[in-house]
Amino acid sequence: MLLIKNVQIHTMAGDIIDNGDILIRDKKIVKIGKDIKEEAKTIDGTNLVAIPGLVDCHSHIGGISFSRKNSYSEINEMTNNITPDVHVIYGIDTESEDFEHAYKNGVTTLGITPGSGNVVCGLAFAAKTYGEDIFDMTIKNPIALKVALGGNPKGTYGRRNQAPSTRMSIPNIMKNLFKEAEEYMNKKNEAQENKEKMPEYDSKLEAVIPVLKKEIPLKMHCTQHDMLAAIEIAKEFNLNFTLEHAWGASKYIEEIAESGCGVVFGPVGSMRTFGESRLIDIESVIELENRGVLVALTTDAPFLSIDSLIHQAGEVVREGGDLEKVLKMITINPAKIMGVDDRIGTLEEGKDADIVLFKGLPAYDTNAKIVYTIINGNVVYSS
Amino acid sequence: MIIKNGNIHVGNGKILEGYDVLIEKGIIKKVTKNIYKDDDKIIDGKGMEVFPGFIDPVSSYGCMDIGSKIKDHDEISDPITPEANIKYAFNHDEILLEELYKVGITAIGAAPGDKNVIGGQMAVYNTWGENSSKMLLKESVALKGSVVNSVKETYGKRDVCPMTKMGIFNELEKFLLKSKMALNSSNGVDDINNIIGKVINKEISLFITAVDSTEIKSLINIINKYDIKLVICGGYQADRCLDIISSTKASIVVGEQVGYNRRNYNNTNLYKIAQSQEDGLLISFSLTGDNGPEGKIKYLWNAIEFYKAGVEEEEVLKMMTLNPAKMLGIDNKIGTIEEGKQADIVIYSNNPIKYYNSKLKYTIINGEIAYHEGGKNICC
Repeated sequence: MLLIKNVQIHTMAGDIIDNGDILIRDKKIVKIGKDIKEEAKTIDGTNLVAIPGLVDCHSHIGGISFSRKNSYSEINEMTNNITPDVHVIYGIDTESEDFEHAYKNGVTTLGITPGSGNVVCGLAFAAKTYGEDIFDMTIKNPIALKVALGGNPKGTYGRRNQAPSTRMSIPNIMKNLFKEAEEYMNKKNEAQENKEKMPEYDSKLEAVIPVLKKEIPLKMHCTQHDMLAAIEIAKEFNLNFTLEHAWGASKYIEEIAESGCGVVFGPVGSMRTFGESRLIDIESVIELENRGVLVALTTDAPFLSIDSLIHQAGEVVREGGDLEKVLKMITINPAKIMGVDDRIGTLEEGKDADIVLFKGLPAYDTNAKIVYTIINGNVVYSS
Repeated sequence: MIIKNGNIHVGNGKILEGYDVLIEKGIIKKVTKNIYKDDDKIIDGKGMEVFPGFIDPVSSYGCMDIGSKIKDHDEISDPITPEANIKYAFNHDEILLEELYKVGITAIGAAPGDKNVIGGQMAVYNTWGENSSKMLLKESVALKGSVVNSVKETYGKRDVCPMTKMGIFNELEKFLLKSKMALNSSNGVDDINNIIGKVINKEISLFITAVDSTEIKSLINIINKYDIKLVICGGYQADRCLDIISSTKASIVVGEQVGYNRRNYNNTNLYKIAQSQEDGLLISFSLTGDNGPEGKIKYLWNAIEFYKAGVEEEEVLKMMTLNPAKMLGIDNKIGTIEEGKQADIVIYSNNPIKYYNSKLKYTIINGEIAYHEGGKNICC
């Protein structure tokens, strides 16, 4: 048992609790309140701030590394423009120092996704940043099917004179797959009464069925006007979906809000050029949030350092975002987007004991420092 | 123009609380309390933090020709091109696209990239203005070169020297030696030898990108023989050889810290690097990392990284203002809020080094309002 005493608790599920206590037993938060009396190992939280472990639902940590000692990329199976049945979990190196860097900087759960080299890229999963091996660390697999619009798939296949060589053909490649999967699913349903009608097993179409059934969402890589194509495709097949990156979203607020999708915005910090990075407008998340859109922030780590998740949040604060709402964008909102909010994302009784104790207020004080990172009730880092 | 009642961060470590700044014809005329004057423009600085315009000492913004595959900041026909002048690559439209002035960067040391051992001549530009000529503060302020892997990656694959680190340092040493000999024996100095002469005579600095401690140590081993003012760019492992760097009084422009996890793999100790200022070293930082310049907002994040590492906020500010101005030899003109200097001033609602909720209210360049919150883009 572990007891954190006298800490300012930002639960992300209600009001801030000053001088509160958090009791942890068997990896879970069992009690939050004032003056909890219990025989337990105690952490003095005086002058500290407790928030749920930080979450980035769009990263590639362990799947790609720029380390000079050991660089690799395992996230793009660019042998076919449609690879819905590949699982990114099989490409993850838990030895990557990026995992350690993540929990040392307060990030306790990651969505790890395939890259965007294909039109349909593969299956993403959610994992804690600390554990024995990747399967031990996993919370949910898969959490989403990753697809990509725009320059990435076009760049991969256009160079080979294959489809897609242009933006024109990307939506059709996706739509055809979904149509085929719908037919396949219908045939399978019919075959329940007549086994002879069972279609031949197709692993790609099988991987799409949970998306059609709305069991997992589409994670749609898109920026600028590509997000209109993304919305159109998802609507046509009545799918759950999120727009990932979403640079330029401020031009499409109406369309996004009306579609009911979630938005995983970021990262900011790239150089401005023409084309996909012509408008990088993190202020758009404030308006999206006001319109009821579920918004999370991302670093795309390791493309940006995972500790810049706080910088991303800080930029929303700079643009006038309410601090508590902004902290939700790096805790409970991404947990909801991944469908793991029953376990993580808030400090509430019954949830996983993933807690970060800061000295200073994160995303407000620029020098707010991690004092403890707790994952599954274990202190995995202390300053 | 008068800025009234601001908290004036001079840039040299001092803060003047509730001071006014009088600006006339692009120059800071007066910094004092209670300036009363009929003036057409008064900016209320009450509760505001007023800083000298920030300077990125090594940047290729404006010089890359980003729309083209053939870049304008690396003359990759020859590893030694001291005659290449960044002035002819600088395009005001390109630098205005990034809107560096919207985070408070008002000047850059425009520099060639990292693909040549000696890449060419640097110039100082404002980040906002009508055209390149009007934005130019000073040309040929320094020579820029590099000893990092991108040099051998550029030439080695063509089977041309340098293919190795040996080749890189040999080219550098030959260049310095030849320059020295040519100067001693020349019958008159041409333009190129003039700039090299200024480097050899310590009138201007030699900026060299060196990242690993081995690169830095080898670089200093050579530079020490020629008694040159050296500025190390990148310097991600400078914290591992600060004593050697101190021995030559070299300056350090620490490379961008957030992109591509550079810092994490090197674990750069920013506090230790900053502490070396006590030994008289000049420290600054840049948006330029291993992969060219990063987006403008990271400039503030890099300042924050130093502050978070324990460096005091006015010391961080020096790295953003006075120190880069000194490295570029233009501290007589920019880098502090002092009488007689060019009026490059930024006004924030709060201190962006300490708080994320700091909003940029005004950017003033050469005495003109380049940006103000809620205002339309005035230029372009």
